[in-house]
Amino acid sequence: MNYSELFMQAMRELAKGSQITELAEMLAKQIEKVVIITDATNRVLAHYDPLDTGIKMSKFFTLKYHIADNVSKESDTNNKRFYEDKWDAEQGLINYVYFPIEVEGKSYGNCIVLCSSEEMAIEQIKIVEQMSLIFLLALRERLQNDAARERFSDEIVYDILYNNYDSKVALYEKAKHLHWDMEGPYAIVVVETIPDKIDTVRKTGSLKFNSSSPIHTIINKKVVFILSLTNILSKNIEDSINSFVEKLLSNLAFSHIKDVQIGISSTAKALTDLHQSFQEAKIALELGKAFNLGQINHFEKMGFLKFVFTAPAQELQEFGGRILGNIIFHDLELETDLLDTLKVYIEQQGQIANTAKALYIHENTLRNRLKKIEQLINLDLGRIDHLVNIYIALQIFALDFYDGS
Amino acid sequence: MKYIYSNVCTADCRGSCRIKTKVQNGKIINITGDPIDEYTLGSLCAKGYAQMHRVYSADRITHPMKQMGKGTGNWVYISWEQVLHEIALKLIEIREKHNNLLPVCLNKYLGSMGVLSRSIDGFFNSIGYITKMVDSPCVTTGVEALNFSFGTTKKPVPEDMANAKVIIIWGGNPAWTTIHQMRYVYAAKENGATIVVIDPVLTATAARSDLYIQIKPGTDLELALGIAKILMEKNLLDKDFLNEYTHNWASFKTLLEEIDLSQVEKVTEVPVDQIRNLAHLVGKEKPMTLWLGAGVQHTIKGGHSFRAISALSAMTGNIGIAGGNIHYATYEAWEFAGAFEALKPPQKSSIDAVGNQNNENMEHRYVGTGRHSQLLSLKPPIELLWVASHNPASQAPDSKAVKKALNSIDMVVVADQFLTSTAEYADYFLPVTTQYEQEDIVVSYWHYGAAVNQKAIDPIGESKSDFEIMRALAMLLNELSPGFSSFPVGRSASEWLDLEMQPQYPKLGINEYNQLIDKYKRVNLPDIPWQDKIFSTPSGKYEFPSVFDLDKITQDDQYPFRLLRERNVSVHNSQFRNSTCVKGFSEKTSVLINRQIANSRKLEEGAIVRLYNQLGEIVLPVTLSDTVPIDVVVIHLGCDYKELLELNDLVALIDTDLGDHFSDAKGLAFNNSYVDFTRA
Amino acid sequence: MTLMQRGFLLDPNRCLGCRTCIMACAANKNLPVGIYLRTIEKQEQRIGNRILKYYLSTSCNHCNNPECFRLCPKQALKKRKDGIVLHDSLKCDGCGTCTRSCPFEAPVINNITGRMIKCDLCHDKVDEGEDPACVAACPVKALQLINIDEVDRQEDVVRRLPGVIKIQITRPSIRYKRLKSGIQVLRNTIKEGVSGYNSDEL
Repeated sequence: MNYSELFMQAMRELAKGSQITELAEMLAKQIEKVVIITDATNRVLAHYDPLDTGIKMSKFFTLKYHIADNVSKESDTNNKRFYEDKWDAEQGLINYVYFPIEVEGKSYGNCIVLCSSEEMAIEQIKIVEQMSLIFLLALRERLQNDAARERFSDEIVYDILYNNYDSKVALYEKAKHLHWDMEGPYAIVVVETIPDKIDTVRKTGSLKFNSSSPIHTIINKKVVFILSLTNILSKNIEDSINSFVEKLLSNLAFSHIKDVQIGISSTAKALTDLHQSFQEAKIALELGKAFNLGQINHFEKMGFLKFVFTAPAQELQEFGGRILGNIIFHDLELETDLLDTLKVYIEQQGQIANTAKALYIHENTLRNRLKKIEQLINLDLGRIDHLVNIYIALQIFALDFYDGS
Repeated sequence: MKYIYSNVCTADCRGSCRIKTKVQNGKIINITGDPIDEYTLGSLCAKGYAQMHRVYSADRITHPMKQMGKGTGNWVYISWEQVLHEIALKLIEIREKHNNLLPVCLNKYLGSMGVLSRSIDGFFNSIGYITKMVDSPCVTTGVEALNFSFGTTKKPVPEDMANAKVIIIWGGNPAWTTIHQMRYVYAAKENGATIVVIDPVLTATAARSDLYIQIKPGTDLELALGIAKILMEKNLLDKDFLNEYTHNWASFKTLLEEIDLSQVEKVTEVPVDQIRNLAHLVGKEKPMTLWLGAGVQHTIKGGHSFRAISALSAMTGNIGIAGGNIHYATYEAWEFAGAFEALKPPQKSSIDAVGNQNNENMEHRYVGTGRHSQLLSLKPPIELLWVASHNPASQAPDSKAVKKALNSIDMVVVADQFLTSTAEYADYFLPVTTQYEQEDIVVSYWHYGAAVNQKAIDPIGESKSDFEIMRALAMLLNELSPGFSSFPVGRSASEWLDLEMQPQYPKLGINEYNQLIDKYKRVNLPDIPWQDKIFSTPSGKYEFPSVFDLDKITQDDQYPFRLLRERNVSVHNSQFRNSTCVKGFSEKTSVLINRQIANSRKLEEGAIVRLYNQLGEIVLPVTLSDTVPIDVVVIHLGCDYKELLELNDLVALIDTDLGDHFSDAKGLAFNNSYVDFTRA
Repeated sequence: MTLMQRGFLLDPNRCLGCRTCIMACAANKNLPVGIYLRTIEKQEQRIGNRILKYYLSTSCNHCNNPECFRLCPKQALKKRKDGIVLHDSLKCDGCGTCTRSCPFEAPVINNITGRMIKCDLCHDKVDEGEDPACVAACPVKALQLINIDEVDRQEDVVRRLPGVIKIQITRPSIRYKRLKSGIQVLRNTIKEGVSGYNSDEL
C-alpha cells in the first residue's frame, strides 16, 4: 500500500473510532519497525513491535532533546521533520527517530520509530509524517475526552473532599465511579506552585504510588493528590509518602519547576475522613509558608503553631500587642530596630555572638538592646515561660505580614 | 394565614421609615423595611428591626399600675376603671379647690410622632386651661436663629444634598443619626464633592470625610465669623445676592472687620491657614450646602452661632439654589388641621356657687421644657403632672432636679411602655400601645413622606393607645362631673385622623388617608426653599445679625474636661436602652477619654471611673481613644449598663442664647457641661 | 476546573458602623434575641498625626480551608461548588468545637436550638438571584456579594486593611476596597498645664 492509501485507510479507521493502539499497529506493520506513540508528558500510549523483537516498554519514553513541554519550535516542522537519538534500553543502546506531533506550537506527543535515520526510507518518512497528522487528531480527541473526563472526575472529587454529598451511600457511589479503592487508608498531598505551571504539576504527579495512580485534581489553584495507603505498614507510610514527594519534586525540577510548596496530611482512615485530611494538607502548606518552615510540611509535625493561628484573630492581635506592643511603639516613635533585634535573637537560638554577627552590630550594643527590650516588655529573656510568650507573639506578627502570596 | 401590614416607625427621627409587618396568628413574626419608601429604599436601622422584640419585651408593662409611695418600687396592679377613676377624681378636686386647672401640668414630647398623639394635647385643651411644658428640647435655639435670619425655617428635600459640590456637616453625626442620608452624601462625593466635617470629636461621620476640622467645643460662633471675615477680605461674595436680597449687610460687615483672625485661631484652636482653606471651600465651590446638627445650638452661644453659620450661605449666594441651603429643620410638613389643638373647654358659667364672677383663666400657663424645678415655685403649684411620650428624668437637664420635682408633685401620671426613670417617681403608670397596636399616621418632617400606620395586632395585655386613654378619661370625667370635658368621645380614631389630615390631602393629591396605603406620597413642599428669594422677615430679605455678644465665658477652672455625648447607633435617646435585642452589638456604655490623658492618670482600658462635677456624679468604665482631644470626654450610652446611668446628672439646666422670642423659652444648652474624673 | 467562590466585598470607605446589616440578618433569619451572625468592629489607630478610623462588618468568610469544616466531629459542614460553606443543623449536636476553632468567631451556638448557626450567605436568596439580607439592607451599599476571582483582578481591591490581623491560613473569601483617608486637622495633642497631665510622663 502506498502512503496515500494508508492515509485514507487510517482516516477511515479513525472515523470509525479506532484507538491510537490500532493506528500504531497499522503504521508499525506498514513500515515494519517498532512504533511508539507518546503523549505530551512522555507517557507511552501505544506501541507495536511488528518484528517481535521482544523489546520491553516502560510507562514513559522520555525524550531528551525535544522535551515534551518545550513548545516553541514551529519553524522546526519545516526544517526538521524528525529528530534522532539513542535509547539506553535493557537490551543496550537502540537508535530511534521521533516525529513531534504538534500544531501551532502545542505539543500533543511524539511518534517514535526504533531505527536510525539512515534506515528510514523517504517513502517511510512520508508515511510516518502523514500518520502523525492522524495521530494528532486522535490525540486531540483523546485529550478532549480526557479533559471532559477530568472535569467530571474533578467535580466528584471536589464533592468528596468538601463533604458536598447527601449520604455515605452517595459518597461511596461517587468513589466507585472513579474506581477508588474503598478501603483506604489514604493520605493527601497538596502542591502549590506558580499558577501557570499547575497543570504540568498535575500531569507530572501521575506517578505510580503503591501500585496505582493517585487520584488527582486541582482545587483553588493547588494540585491535590489522594494517595491510597492500602497494605502499607504504618511504620512505612511516612517513608513511602516522602519518596513519592521527592520523585515528584525531581520530575518537576527536570521540567524547570522549582518554586514548589507541599503540604501533607495525616493518615485518613476512611473515605469519610478525606475532607479532614484535605484541610490538614492545606494547612500544613500554608503554615509552612507563613512561618518559613521549608518546602515540605507534614501536618502532624506542625506542633503548637496549629493552635496559634486558629485562635480568634482579635485575641491574637491583643496578645501580640500586649507582649510586644511597647517595643513596636518604641520603634515607631524613636526609629529603633528593637523588634528586628529580638526576632533575630530568637532565630539565632539566643546566641549572642551569632545574633550580633547577623545584625552587624557589636556584642555590647546587642546586650544593651536586649536589656532595653526586657525593660520595655517587662519580661525576662532568660526565663523559658517568658520566652514562650515572646516566641508566640513574634509568630503572630509574622502571620500579620503573611498575606498568602 | 400570614397577613402583611404597613407600618411606620414613630420615633423622633428623620427617617420615619416605612415598615412591612408580617403577622401570623395575631402575632408579629417578622418586620422588614418597605421597599416602596423612596428615602430608605426598604432598609431600616438596627433599632428599627429590633422593634419587633420591643413589642413583646418581657420588660414591657401591659397593665395599669399604682406605686405605693414614690420611688419605692412598690408597684401594684390597678384596673383601668380604678386608675382613671382616681385620676378623674383628682382633676375634679383640683378644679373645685382652685376654680381652675392651672395646677394640672402636661409634659409631653415626641416619644411617638404619630398624628394621634396630639389627642393628648387635645384632651387637656378640652378640660380647661392648664400648665403646659412647651417647646422643643431639640431644635428651639436653631429654629429661632434661622427664623431671625430667614423669617421662617425651611429646608431642601434630603436628596438635594447630592447636588452639592461642598457639604459642610457642622456639629452633626449623620452616619449614626440619619444613616439613610449618607447615601446622598456619598453620591455627592462620587460626583466630586468635598465632604467637610466640623466637630469637636472624630465621629463616625468625620472618619468618612474628606476634610475634618477638630474644633474646640463651643467656639463655633468664632469659627464662623472667622470664615466670614476671610470671605469678605478675599471678596468671595455673591454681590448680587447681598445687594438685592439681604438686609443689614453693612453692619455685619463692620462687625467682621473687627474680627482678629489670630484671636479666632486662639479661641477655636483651628489654625488660620485651615480657616482660610475652609473659606475657600465655602466661597469658591458652588453650590455649598450645610448640614447643621443639633450639637452647635445646644451651646450657650448656639443661636448666634447658627446665625453666623447661615451668614456664610447668604454671603456666598448659596441660598435658594439647588445643592445649597441649610439642612436643619422645618415645620412646614406638619400643617395639620389642628382639630385637637382647637378643642376648647366647655363654655362654663363664670359664676360660682356663691354667685360671684369667676376669675377663671382663659389661657394656658407655659413653662419651658425641661424646667421641672420651676413647677414647684408656681402659684398655684402643680398638683397633677401628666407625662406622656416623654422621659424627662433622663432627657431633661439636671436629672436630680427633675426627679426632685416629680417627687414633690402630688400626683404624677406616666403613660409609657416601659418603666422609665420618670416612672420611678410616678404614682400611676398607664401602659401605652406601640404603633403596631393602633392605627396612626406619620408625616416625616425630614423627607415629607406621609404614611399610614396600620393596626397589625391587638393591644398587648391591657395597654391602650394615648388616644384611647384620653378618650376614656374624658368619658369618665363627664360621667362624674357632667360637662367637664368637651372632648368629642363619639369620634373614632380614624375620624380624627381624617380631620387632622384635611389640609394635607391636597398637598398629597388624595382625598382620604387610606389612599396612602401601598403608595409612596410626599407632602408637596418645594424641593428647594427660597427660590424666589422672598424671605419671611420684616424686611422681606435675609437679615444679617447686628449684635454679637462674644463675652460669655464658660471655662470652668474647677472642672477641666468638656462633657460631650456621642449618640449611640443602637439606642434612640432613652428608648431602646433596655433592649436586649441590640445589646449584644451596641457600643458599650463608657466614657471616651483621650489616650494620653488616660495614660497620665494611670487609667487603663476598662478602668471604672467616677465622672463628677458640681451637680453630681456617674460611674462607668473608660475607653481610651485618640478621637477625643485632651480637654474633652465623650459619653457613649449603651444598653448594657446595669443601673441605667443618667448622663444628665452631670448636665445643668443652662439656657442658650435664643428661643424665647418665637417660642416660650430659651433653648437648653446640653453641651455646656464640664467634669473631672478619678478612678472609682 | 472553573469553580467560583462567592464572598463579600466590603467598602470601608462607606461602612458607617450602623449595625443595620446585623439586624437585617437577624430579622431575615428570625434569630433569637441576642444571637447575631454578623459583627461590626471599630478599627481605630493613630498613625503619626493621623487617626485611622473605620468599621469592619464581618460574618462567616466561607473560607477555602475552613477550620470548622475540618474539625467538626459530626461532619456537619460542607462547601458548595460556589464556595458557600453550609451547616446541616440536623447533624449538629452543639458540641461547640467549630465555635472555638474559627479564627473569625463566625459560628455561634443558637441558645434556643442548642445547635450551631452561622452565616450561610443567604444561599436560598442567592440561588434565586437575590442579594443576601445584609447586602440588601445596607443603607449605603457598603457590602456587596461578589465572585472572589473576578474582584481579585481589580486594582482597588485588597485582602487586608491596615491595623487588622486577618488570618489568611484559612483563605477567607472576603475582600475590601482600599481604605482612603481624608485630611484631618486635629488640635494639638500635647499641651502643658492641663490638670493632671505631665509631659514628662509620656
